[in-house]
Amino acid sequence: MIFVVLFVDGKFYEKYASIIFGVSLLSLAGLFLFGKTIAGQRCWYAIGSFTLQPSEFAKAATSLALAKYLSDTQINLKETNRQIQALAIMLLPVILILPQPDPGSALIYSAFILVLYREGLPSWYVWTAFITIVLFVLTLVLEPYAVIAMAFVVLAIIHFKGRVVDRNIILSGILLVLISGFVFSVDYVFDNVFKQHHRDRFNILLGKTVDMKGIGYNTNQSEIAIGSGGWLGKGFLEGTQTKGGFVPEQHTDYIFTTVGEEWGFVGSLVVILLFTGLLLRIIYLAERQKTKFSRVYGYCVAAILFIHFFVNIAMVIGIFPTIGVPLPFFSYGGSGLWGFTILLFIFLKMDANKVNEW
Amino acid sequence: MKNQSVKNNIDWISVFIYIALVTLGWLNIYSSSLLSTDGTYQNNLFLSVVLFH
Repeated sequence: MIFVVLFVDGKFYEKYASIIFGVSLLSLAGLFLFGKTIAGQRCWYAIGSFTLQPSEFAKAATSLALAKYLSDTQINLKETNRQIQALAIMLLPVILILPQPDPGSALIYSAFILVLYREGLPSWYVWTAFITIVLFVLTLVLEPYAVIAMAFVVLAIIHFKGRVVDRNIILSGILLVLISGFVFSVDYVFDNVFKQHHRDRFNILLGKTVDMKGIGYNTNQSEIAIGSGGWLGKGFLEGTQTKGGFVPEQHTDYIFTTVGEEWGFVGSLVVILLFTGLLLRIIYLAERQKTKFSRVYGYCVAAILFIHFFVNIAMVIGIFPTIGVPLPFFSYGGSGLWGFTILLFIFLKMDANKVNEW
Repeated sequence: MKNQSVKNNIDWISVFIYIALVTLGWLNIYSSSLLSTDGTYQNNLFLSVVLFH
């Protein structure tokens, strides 16, 4: 697979990005007709005794499509219609993935916001998303009035710390009203829009519910396995939690628990450093690309690997709700490994090809 | 400009990290597929790991 990706001319990916994206969307849509249902999810095509998950390949296809769109010199992400078009490229696969239902894969596409931000999307989009998440979590933990009081204090500090000419009491007031409206809507959304298993996962995460034998079983066993590894771990093939089969899905989404138990803190740190090194290397390579297309694609690769890495490890150590996001190159799954390998090596091919570009 | 070999221009640092991660992943999948209950490999999973990971 790697040799095929490297053998293809680097310009091929740019020239046929739209067609690759179209084929990828068709493969996702085809799941509704020809897909195989496993554990309630219609995410796979069955080919003989093997299965293929198209959403794993759609990440590379969407990256190519977004890079192709943004590499147009006329594109300015400060313009609203351009923002909508870029978001549409991101959201098309999500619309097809969410009903499968595969929220974990759909979540990954939010990583492209970071790429758009790098390419000129106004920063208030990212800040709004961040503040919304913080307010949502705070409202679940604290009383709504306490969250609004905190927001009032923060807005007051920002207002009076700013330059006199920048102070706008009306804007601050509107922000406070919007925040208050959002805070009071959180409980309704949580109780009426979220499904029971979503509510359970948040309640476990926030410590509101203790259910070690039911919904909290995975996270609890995962934490026990990692904690039992200590500094240096129990040794390869010596993990008692691993060998006892206590951690569900250990060879897929929870593979990092085996690292924690058998290789300890030091082994876990090595894995984290390897991922961090790879991400920094991709960003470094992306910045030295000669074309905008390959630079944007490089950032897409870094963003996708980052969100997989971050969400998976956060989930395994119990600081993120349980969601099906595998650890790249690590978790068991043929489609996943193929998808990540294609994603990465297309970029390495572009990077290798840059000496031929002017 | 004359085309140069991919092997000469490929970023070997990224390739090395990729190989390291895949190898470590393979070792950990192998370990998690070996349960103490029967003391033997879960052959299907093991074979799949070898073929696809």
